[in-house]
Amino acid sequence: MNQLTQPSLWHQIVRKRALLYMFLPCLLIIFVFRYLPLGGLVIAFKDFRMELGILQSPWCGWDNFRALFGSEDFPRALRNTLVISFLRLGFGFGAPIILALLLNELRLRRYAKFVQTSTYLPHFFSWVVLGGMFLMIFSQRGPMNQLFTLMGLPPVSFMTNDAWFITTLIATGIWQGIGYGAVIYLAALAGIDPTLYEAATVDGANRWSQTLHITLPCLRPTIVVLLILSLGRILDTGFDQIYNLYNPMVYDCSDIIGTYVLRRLISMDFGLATAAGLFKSVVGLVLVATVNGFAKKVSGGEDGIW
Amino acid sequence: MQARQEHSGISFDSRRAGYVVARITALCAIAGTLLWVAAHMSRSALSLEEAEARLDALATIDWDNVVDDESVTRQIIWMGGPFWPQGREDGYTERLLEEALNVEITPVCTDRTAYSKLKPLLFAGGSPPDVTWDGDPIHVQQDNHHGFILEVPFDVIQRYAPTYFRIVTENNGHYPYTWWYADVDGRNFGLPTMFNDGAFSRPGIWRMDWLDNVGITNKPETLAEFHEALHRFTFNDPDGNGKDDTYGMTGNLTGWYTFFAEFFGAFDSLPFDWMRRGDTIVYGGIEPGTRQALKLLRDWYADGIIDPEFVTDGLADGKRVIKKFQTGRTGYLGNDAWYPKHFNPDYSNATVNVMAQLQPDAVIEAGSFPIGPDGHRGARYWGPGGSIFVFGQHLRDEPGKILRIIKIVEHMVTSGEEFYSRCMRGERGLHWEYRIPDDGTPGTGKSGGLEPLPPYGVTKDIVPELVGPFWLVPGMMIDWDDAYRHPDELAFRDRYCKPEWCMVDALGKPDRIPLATKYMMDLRNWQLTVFAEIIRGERDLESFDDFVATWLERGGAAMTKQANEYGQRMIELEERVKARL
Repeated sequence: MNQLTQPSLWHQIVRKRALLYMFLPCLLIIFVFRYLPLGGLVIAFKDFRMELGILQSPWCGWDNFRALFGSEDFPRALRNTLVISFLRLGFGFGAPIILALLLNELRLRRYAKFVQTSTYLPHFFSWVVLGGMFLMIFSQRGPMNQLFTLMGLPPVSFMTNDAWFITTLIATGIWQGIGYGAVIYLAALAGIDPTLYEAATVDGANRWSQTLHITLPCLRPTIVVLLILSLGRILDTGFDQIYNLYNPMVYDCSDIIGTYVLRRLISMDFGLATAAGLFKSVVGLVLVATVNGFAKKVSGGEDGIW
Repeated sequence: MQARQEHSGISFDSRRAGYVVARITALCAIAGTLLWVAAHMSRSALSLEEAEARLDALATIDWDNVVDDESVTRQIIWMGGPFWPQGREDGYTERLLEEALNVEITPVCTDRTAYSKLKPLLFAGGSPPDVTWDGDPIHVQQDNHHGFILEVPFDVIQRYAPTYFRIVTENNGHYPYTWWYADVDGRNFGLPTMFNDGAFSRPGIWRMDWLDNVGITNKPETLAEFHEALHRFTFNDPDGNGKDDTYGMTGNLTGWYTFFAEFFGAFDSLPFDWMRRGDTIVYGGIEPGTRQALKLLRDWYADGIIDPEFVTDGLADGKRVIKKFQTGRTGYLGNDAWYPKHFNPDYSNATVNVMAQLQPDAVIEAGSFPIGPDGHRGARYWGPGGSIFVFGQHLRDEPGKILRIIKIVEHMVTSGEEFYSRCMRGERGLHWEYRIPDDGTPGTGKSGGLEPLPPYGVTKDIVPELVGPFWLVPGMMIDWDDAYRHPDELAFRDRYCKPEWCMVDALGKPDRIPLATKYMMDLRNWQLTVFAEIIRGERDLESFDDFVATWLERGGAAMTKQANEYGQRMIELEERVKARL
């Protein structure tokens, strides 16, 4: 009886082999491109010489990490990365949710589509292009400052003042990513059972309380998953954006791990670069695991990514 | 509901057991593999001494027994300087050299960004180029550190390319930088090239009509005169449009090598380079002259004559600095008086032609460097040392190829002016024709400018035709190259771009010492920040003293010590090479 309803693992494998065969290429790709390269992480513990290869290069213990944390620049880059990331998360994480909710409430479908497309569009521009545009817009006598002058405000050095630079970074980051981020929430919104709303309408709930008591709770799993995922990426914060906007005046507050690693790679200092990358991944893993555990605990095992 | 729970309750155990077994097996397999790999790795890893010895051995060849059989066709993969990404295989120059020396060349053409990614990939991926362009001495050091490249002793170069050796060594009287860039711990690792334009200074360019409008008759010479002119450019409405929309000048904070260089030069300072002071070498950035120059710039900034956007204008290769001058926002363009780029009337993108469109009233002229309080004048220059061509370590299996490449270089400089010019410019009558027929007077024939013949320059770019190994020769045959310059350009160079105003790093380039890899780039970025903040008044001038102390502490002292050792080595190398002439 038992055998009939729940065949053993082996039987399941044999029976569903067609599915497994189909999955095999994906597994192979993930193994080759995601797992095999993990072996390269040993470079972080080696005095790596390319001609000798990873295997033969001499070990150097924790030297690379010692050099990393002994320098002035890596700890500063780490600090900047964390500051920028948490600001981005704090101010930027909710933005796509709000946009998705607003779009969802729009009656004019055509207008909603237009807004969605136009907010989605910036995602496709490379920061090389956007960087040039923003340098112009936020320059000392650029359109933004002209607007400020018209409003009787003093001009602002967006690109050279530390605080303003970070503000600009985060604001332009939100502007670029909001449409793309909203798409996933819109998909989740489309999946909400309309009968819930009908029932609520019958019960006399207005739009606001519907949003509060139906939409948001239904969105919660998606929000939690995306939050966990973005925490995992907390240490790789918008390299493209910063690299194309920063300048010597704001190095102190905007030199991030990504730009630090790039400098090390250009000087073919692979040991240090790998050590920084490994550190970044470990922190990401710890954060994801912690937040996931937390989310599961709070939601009683419902939310979370595993 | 009840049934479903029961159901899953029953199936739970057997399924669970299966998963647990599978999981444990998988974990064991992974752990076993990892352990095996780790054991294998630690066994095959060399000690540091073994590694150094192995790399040394890999870089050395017994040259005595190497011969080049000229009847063998050599296949050469040639990765040149990353300046001609539009280059392609089988260009004119390439065919010229292939016929002359029985070689088959495969050029690798990239731009700068692609180059810095592609080079490590090619070497790491096991398909290194035979010849690789290295822009800076620091790259040669890194290549050697990773064991990419082969030593090529002077003996070998002198035997197969005596003329080239002599030209590069004498270097138009500018010794010693060329060979110094290819040197790693007293061993020579490549063929250096020369950069003759680096031997000529480039003073600033003035808006003569603006000077006229604000009542200044002579081009400024001293710092005080510079200040007066820049001040009036800012406040006396030099363009006469009734608006306060002009500045004296802007700057390039991103390019440390041109950052207000003429004003630091006036105080005898190279703020980002090594300077010789008597017998010792010091870092210019911490010298008193640098402090004085910063004070001057700080006062000028407070006065309002420097565009506050000098901080960001240098982004994108400093194009905005030039654009601001061309669009009449600034009246002085520092450190850039180079004839082909700004004054050549035949070149449509030259500033004179651009400004004829944008600012029809503009009259521009090169000036001179400001004279400082102690009579110093000049600015930082790269000097005439060029880049380096290095040979892939895999050529140890075919060292004859290296000899052939050395012969190519020799062939270019010994086969007469006509051959050399064809390599550089293509063929007269096929690619170009004289703009003005040669009648024997200056400004006609060669020096009158070249007119591209169709299809080149009209529907087809000339560059792909010429990109072959010609990356190697530029700047090598000065007289032959000067023959193609217009008399106006030569006169301009003689008048404004005096070599004696060039201030060159005591070691050629500040990154020449090995410790620079570790400290220089980060310290330099920080220094730029501090200097910009001092100039903008966001820091006290006194914070310069803190900067000096911190700079020394954060690796500067160690670098200074090494710079002095290397200064000595450079002198030794100079003597060694000169003794060979």
